[in-house]
Amino acid sequence: MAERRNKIETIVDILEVIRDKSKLKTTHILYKSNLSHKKLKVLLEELMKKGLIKEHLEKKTRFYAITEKGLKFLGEYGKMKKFTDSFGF
Amino acid sequence: MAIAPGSPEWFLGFDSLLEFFTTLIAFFVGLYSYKVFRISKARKYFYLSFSFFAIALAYLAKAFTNILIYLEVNRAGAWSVKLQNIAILHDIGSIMYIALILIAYITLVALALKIKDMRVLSLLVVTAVLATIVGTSSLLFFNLISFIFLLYIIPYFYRHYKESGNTHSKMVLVSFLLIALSHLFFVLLLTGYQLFYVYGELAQLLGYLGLLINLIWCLRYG
Repeated sequence: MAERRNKIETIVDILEVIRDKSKLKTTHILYKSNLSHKKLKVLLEELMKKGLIKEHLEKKTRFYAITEKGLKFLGEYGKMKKFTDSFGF
Repeated sequence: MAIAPGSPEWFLGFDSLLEFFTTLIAFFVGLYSYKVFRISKARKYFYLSFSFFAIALAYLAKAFTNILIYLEVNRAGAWSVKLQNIAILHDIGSIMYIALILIAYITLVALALKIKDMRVLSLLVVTAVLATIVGTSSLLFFNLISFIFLLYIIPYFYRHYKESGNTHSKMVLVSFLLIALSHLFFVLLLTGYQLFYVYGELAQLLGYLGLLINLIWCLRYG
């Protein structure tokens, strides 16, 4: 992942990581997202509030999975970004 | 001053239709760029949407101005008694078209060449203002300036296409080549060959159609 990302790029990266693995532990997301634990926790809570991811407990371990809304967001944003990125700016 | 000097009489009215269509396309491109800006907060998308909204407004002004020429030529209905008002509206429309297109192209040049220095930007704006003033009496000069601005943007799109190798970038490159070609055709009106106006309008339409196809393609198939 790129070092300098804006918030939306970080969110998209997190959602893609969670989507690709169907469910992930915080430590794995932390490793993949290259964020501090504190920042990741804030972002995960924000994503849950927005209904883009869901959390569940398995043997006292927190797992995260992407929701339908999260998948839809990734799809829509990806399409729009593909168009604007075709200009290369 | 006239927006459609050299237009064949049979083409008057059709050109406005093409320009309304161009307005719609530029508006949708601006809208989707703005949506990406709203989500990403990346300023480059704001400037991209700003330039396409400016292009949409410019072509709307041009379409209305050309309708006025059409009405002048045909002396249709109640309009015929208000020729002086038509002339004023026509002049306002022409200035709006020229100024907005130049603003849009300067924004795209700034994005493509990553110009952040205010002195360089102000130089471009001064050039554009002078072009607008001169352009109001000579549209050929305005079209030449527009063509030159696009010549600075197109190599950027070419490099991006070569680096990314994707078809969407190729569509953007081809679209802007056609838009540049349209300005060149309008410059060639200097020769007095009226069909250059028709070629210019068609090249411009094809250019914006390319952007529309690219937009639909991205939104539908990702």
